[in-house]
Amino acid sequence: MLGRLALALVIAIILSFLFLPLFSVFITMGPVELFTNLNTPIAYQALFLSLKTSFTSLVLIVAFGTPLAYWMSTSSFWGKRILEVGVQMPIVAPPAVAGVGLLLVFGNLGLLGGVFSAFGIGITFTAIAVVMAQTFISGPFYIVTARQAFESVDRELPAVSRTLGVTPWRTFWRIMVPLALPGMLAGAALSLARALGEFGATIVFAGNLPGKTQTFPLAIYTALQSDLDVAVAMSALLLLTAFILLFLVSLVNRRAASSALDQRKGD
Amino acid sequence: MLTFAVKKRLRDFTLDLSLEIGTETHVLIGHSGCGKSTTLRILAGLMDPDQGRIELDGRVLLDTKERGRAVSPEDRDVGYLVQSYALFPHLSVTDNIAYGISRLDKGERKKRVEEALDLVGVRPLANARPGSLSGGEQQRVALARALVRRPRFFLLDEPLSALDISTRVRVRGELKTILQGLSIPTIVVTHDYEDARVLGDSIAVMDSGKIVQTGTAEEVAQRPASAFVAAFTDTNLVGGGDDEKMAFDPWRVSVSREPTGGECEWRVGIQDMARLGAFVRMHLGGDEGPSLLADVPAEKMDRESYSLGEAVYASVAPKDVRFVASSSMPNEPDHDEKEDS
Repeated sequence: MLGRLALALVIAIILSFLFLPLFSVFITMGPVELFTNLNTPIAYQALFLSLKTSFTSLVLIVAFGTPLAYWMSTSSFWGKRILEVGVQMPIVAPPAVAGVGLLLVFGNLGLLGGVFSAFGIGITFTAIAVVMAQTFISGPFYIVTARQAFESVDRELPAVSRTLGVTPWRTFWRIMVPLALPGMLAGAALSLARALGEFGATIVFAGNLPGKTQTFPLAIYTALQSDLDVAVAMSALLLLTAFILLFLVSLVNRRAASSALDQRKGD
Repeated sequence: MLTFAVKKRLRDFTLDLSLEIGTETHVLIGHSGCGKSTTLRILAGLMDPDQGRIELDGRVLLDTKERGRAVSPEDRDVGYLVQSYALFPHLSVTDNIAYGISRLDKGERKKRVEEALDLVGVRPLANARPGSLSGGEQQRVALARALVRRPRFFLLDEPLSALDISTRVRVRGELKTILQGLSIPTIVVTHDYEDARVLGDSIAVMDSGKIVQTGTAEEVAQRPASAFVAAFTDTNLVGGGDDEKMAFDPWRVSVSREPTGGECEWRVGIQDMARLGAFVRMHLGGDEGPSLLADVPAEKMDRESYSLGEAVYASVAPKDVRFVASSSMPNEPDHDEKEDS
């Protein structure tokens, strides 16, 4: 009895700790007040920039990450483990460190920065830099999830597909993509949520210029220094978006799990 | 006509075999891990041998001596049925069957799919998803999917092992009928002698990557070339003279508590007993005697009530013994390989 009480207490403490800060954003203000506070040019500008850059990042991540994820799921080679860990590094590395790394490579004085500036392309302090920071930080969420989705497809299926006269390229589109799609969608949603919330790498690499590189999270940080209510309202919007995305992921996962179960029933 | 000779170094042994198969069903039988499935993957083009040549009706599918002479799986005109059947879970039965003929025009495609549905008798399931099918139904759909392309040779990897006992015998009969109607070179891989006996026009026993004996199922059972082969066919093989061995069937062995004084008699212990309908199959063996199988009629078993571990006399009448020329090294596969190559 005492044990169960202690367990309940521990759970209550950790859940309150996790949820209260998130809920507080919504309780301090009514919906009308939230909307009034959001209805400012700075907020719209930041929101628009965030959406534009995050979706651009997502397109880049899917376009470049899918081949990588597929390749990692099908080939075995020396050092594959190390590569897998390396690809996941941006998930655990401090975002500010990622920003410094990006500066060292693509900054005007960086390794490749000279090449770009020779063509008159300045990257730092532009929306391009924002996209690069978001892609760098949120890419691994998609790559890792998509790789697992490809790995979970029975290897016999593409093999049999080829003996049925279908080339590897067409097998990829007719077998691998449809079967890995739930995982790919989940990964894309996670990446998008992470990109929308990206802060550390962006402020270091792209700066905090309203209208140019000030994304929504950066605008929250700026607003915090002048008007707390605006910051709270913007936080509420970002949280709601993240929650919806995460909820979609769990829906997709549940559907994938139940259809996998259907397949197994047949055996 | 399918002719091939392939070599591939595997983890524990080297796969090394050559075969020539006409428009018949040839069964490769062996324990799991003996290289049977690897052989099929090589023939299908899903795996490369270290050395080898594969030729189908005069067309070279693979020759490792000529660089670049390897036809990819999608161009080999192969039918390949895997143990798990590997139906595409996101496609209906009809779409699974039509998967490999999407290049054909619509009318021809429809006609072929309907033919295939009828051939294997799954027309009522045309719109079902693979997940809702039983094992036997899945096997039939997989067969239809492979055959609808009219392959020039057919490879079946353990086609029956995913089925439970109750459906297995029926499906085996159906499969035999379908295979007989094909008249293309067909290789069936199995670890079950009954499957080999029913399906195969000829069979080859494989051990550690090599063929140790070939022949019809009956020849192999009558005159097993080694103890390994004998164990597969449930035939007793006992060392007789210097260069001869005695082969005899379990149902010719009689078991008694007292010696009968016959010519071929051994004192052995009862190591295991399994009731199979009207008789009990005894696994006999011991320090003095050889390992034997004996089928004891059920009524005799009830009368005598033998118990596990008991020492008995097992004998066989000389007229029921077949003398098999014993190789100098019965378990050495090299001996039999000469007959194949």
